[in-house]
Amino acid sequence: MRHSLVPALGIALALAAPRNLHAQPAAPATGSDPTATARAAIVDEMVTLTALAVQRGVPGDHVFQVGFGAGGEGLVAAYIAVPRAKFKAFQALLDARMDKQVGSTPTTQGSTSLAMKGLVPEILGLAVENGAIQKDVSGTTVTFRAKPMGIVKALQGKGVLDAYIDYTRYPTAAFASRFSGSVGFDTARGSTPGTLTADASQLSAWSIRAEVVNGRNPASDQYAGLWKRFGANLQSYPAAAAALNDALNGWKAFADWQKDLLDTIQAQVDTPFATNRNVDTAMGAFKKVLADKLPRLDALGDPPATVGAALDQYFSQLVVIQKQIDDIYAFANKGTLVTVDWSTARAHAVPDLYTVTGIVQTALGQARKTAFTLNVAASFYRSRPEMASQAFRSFDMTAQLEHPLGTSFVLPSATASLSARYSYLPNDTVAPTTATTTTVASAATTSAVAPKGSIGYFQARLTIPVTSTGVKIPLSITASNRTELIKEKDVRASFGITFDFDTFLNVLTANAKMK
Amino acid sequence: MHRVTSRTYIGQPGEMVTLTTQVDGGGQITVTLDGQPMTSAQFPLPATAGGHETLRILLVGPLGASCVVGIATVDGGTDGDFLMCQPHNPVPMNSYSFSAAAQASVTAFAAVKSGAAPTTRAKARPKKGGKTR
Repeated sequence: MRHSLVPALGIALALAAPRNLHAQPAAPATGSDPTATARAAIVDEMVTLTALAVQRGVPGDHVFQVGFGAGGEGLVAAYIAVPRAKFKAFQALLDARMDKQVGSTPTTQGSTSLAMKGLVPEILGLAVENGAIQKDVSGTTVTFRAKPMGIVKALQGKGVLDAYIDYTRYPTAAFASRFSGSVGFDTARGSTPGTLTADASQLSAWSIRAEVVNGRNPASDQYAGLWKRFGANLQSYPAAAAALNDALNGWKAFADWQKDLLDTIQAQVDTPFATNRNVDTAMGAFKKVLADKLPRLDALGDPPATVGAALDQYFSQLVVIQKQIDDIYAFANKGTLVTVDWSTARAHAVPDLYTVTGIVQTALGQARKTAFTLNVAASFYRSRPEMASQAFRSFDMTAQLEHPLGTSFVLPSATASLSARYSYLPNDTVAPTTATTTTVASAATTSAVAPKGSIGYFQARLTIPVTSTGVKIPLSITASNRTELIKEKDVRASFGITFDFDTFLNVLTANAKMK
Repeated sequence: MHRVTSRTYIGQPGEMVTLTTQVDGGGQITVTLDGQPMTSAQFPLPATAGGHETLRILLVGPLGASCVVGIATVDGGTDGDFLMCQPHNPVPMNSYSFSAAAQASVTAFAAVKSGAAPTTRAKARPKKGGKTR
């Protein structure tokens, strides 16, 4: 029996779109001027609101005024409040990330993750995975994963919220958003190893994935009860919103500004639109009015004390509410997700390896604290490898339980997971192997016979986050009755660091905003 | 009933108001009239001239949830509004002011409105919530 205790250091950088389709979109990333950036985002929301109102055929001849006027000033209030501390606290919540998987897929050497997760970044994901420089761990894989619909929306210049609205409103867009694809490049390959050239010689894998069941859409009927209870339990917020409305309309300078805005929209947008019904022209005129009128709010000077107090109270309430909304999103994001994944792995020494994987992700318990993942996969080569008797390679089944240990544990917010994997090789087959000298650049891939039989893996894992910086330290121990190539028991411990670059940026951004 | 300005209406005492809502995108609404939950799609304006009512619609839901509002009969048709859950307005709440005035006043207002410029209309705006601004 061979026992090897091989520490593996896996550093995963995820430079991915920050949210999956049904995670909560946040405001755009801030630039050098947080106030200007936040206000630009608010103006975008005004335009989106109006465009959708037109699209939905809101009755009456004042459709371009739906985002303004007494009794409906939420976005204008936000625009005014941007420089205020209470707004910044709210904005920081908006910028907080929701959910994203960070780490390698289980087929990557040196990975600390055994079961493959089903979620994909919405727009474009770039993950650079560095395996440990060990004898049996090699390669640097760059994986791009995207939803085609997300790319289309991005190319159309639509923001995440617009894309999300399209998904919720158009069945075709929602259907298309169920598909995603990825391409992996091994930077150790090619004429310039260590450099990503993303050409055919570095292409190491590609995959397409389809969501069969998605129970993670917070807009679906199964979460209607949650939203209803949330709305019914709001006590202080309606009073704060009403008080803000009264305060704003009691501010004469603001009331005059608002009247001028509404009159201008009526004259330059709504009235011509009632005649010509030209949406593009009307939207252009509407944006022009906003560009002219909104900056004039700054000329009104500081809001009176009553307005300031009402704004602060309103955004204090929004901070509380936003956290409750985040909780609903987090709960929905643990719903059942069933995906089917077709992947192709390319290695020099063996034919392309196709793997079809069914992935079931769900959460156990009413609070959905314990995550359960089941992968069932079948792998076969494109053609029979020279040393194999069949093109078919293996059946694999992996199950994983993941449970947060909570803050009562000595390691705050640590997560424990147990994974088991069973593989059955019905015939002698082959597996690629990597012979490594001293550098990744000199890695060379060959193949060896993988004898038929059953392989069992077991992995226990502890993931420890380092505060909220996006850094996580996964510790794992894996035991198996044999490896693919060697019929000997194997016990392996590994530790690593995953670094969520997006979270790190958000922390920096939030800190900058709070200053 | 007539539209005075955005979300502000005036009509005769006891005139019936019809409210329609169309919620989309997983949203849920709470509708209150003078703070009390509204159970019917119709309600009358105050029975006496000078009376005032406030209708509030609160929309909760995921981002993108929306609600099309229709208020009738306003100037012979339906007046509309639109709420949507957005990042900077995650729980929109819109308020509508309904005032009752004597029939002669309402008729005069309608006559003025039909030929008046926006500034004139604004001068006819009733006091919201009975308060003087």
